[in-house]
Amino acid sequence: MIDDIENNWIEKYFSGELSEKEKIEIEDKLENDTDFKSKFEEYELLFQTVVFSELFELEKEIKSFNPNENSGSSSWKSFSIIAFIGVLLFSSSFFNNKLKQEELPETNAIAIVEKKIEHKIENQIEKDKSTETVPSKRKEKLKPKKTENLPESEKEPDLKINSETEIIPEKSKEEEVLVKEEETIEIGITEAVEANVKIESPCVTKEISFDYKISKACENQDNGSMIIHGIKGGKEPYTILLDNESDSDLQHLFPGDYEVLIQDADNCFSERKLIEVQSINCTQENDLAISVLNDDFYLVKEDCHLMIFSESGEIVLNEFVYAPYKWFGRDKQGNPLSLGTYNVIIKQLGKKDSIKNISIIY
Amino acid sequence: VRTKISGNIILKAIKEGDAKSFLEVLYKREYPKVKSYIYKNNGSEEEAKDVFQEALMVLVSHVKLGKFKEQYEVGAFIFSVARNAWRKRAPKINSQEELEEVETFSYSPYEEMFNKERKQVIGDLLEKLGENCKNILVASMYHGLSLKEIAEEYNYGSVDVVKTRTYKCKKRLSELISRDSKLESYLKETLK
Repeated sequence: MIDDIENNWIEKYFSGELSEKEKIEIEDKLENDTDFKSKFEEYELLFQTVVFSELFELEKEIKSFNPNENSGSSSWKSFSIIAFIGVLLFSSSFFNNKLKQEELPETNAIAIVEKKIEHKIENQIEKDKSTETVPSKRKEKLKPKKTENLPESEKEPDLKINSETEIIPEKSKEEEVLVKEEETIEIGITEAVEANVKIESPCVTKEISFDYKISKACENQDNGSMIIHGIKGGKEPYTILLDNESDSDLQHLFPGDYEVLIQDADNCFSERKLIEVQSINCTQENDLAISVLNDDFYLVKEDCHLMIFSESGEIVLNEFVYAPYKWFGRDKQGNPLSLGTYNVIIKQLGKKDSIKNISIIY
Repeated sequence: VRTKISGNIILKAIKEGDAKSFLEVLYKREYPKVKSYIYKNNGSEEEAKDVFQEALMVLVSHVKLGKFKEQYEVGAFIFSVARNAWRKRAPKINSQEELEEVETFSYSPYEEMFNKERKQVIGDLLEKLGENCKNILVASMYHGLSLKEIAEEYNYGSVDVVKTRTYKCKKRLSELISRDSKLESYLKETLK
């Protein structure tokens, strides 16, 4: 619990959400509490690494920015409006209240007005979209593939037509006035979005679901696997997206979390599932062998994942097999394989992969 | 008052990663001063642009890393960084320069923060972390999005999923750093 609070403080320190007074408290703690200091420094390293990775991207954008191409755009106009309103707000708060910044709670009226103004300007920018040449980096980077058929509880708030049905936390009268105005703006957008959805999207009525099975992976090995099955609710053919990639190999997975999404023929998406391929400590190699019983077939004596490759590296069989499994030297479609040597990888939970060579001789 | 407020709004745009807005404003408001200084000291327009862009990067990185002090004025900071950058490039500048006031801003210079080695090391590290983990950490640490916003933007089922995912991604990044002592000490040394 204390850990959570401390971590939360550290994160807020770096995101600039703390007041000056709170920052000083943190800095005092850093001098007197070595455990806290160590946690702080660990987070600082992660924070700086992540921030720099993005700054390197931003550098490219700044280097390629041409002010002449962008002057006079709607964004500049919006920015001027913000600046102007900012002056008004600042003057008003300065002369009326002379409040210090740290005395203002986060939900004060000024903050709400600022947010409302930003909201209005964002709407204006949306309307001006046709004149935009470069979208806002933040929006652009974070634009995901929208799942238009998300469950009701997870739909975008924009899609709610009647804002009166929304649960709104208790607000002061002053806030209520502002919120009402804000809702009026939202309703305008809502209707437009709803109209689009009705006309264009076949996904709103679909709920694509799926099940999965996981085979754990040894530490630092890609011998985990995932089987997706029971896909329903959409239109075939389906595409499995693993970490947003459509051509991922589900049979060679390292331990870790993977995001799985199913896309159907209408480009509708299932709910995104976070699936973990657990890591296991593998110490011994599996002693499974694919043994020749007679000239007709090879026998696998235990349940395992069987992968068979031709000499040229082409995969001819790749499936989980249940013992006793007889392999008759055929590919998945049942076609006999040509004569030659084949590499067999036998994967079994909790053990290192076993790699064998077999020959097909008729 | 006007300058102060405009500065605050520029800082807000930088914090939110709204590059287009702050670049337009800063080019309009601050670039002419830098360009004029570089011209006076025998520089070309291309060099002025270069130095100005470096100064912008120094500004943005300091804001993003929480190192930009509140009392700094954005325009003065940019000009100061640009002037120092030009002094390093062209040491034989106007002799009057030497008589100017002592620098009041403290900052890490551009070439220190944006050197090739650092880009390579951090790039490789984030690649090992994986695209999805990178996205979620960038959304949280760089863009400052809340768990709820991340859940909405990336279509995660719930805030809890994002919370678990963020925790695991931080842990994974931390492990990637700590398992390589050379990398760890490089980062600790350079990311000060």
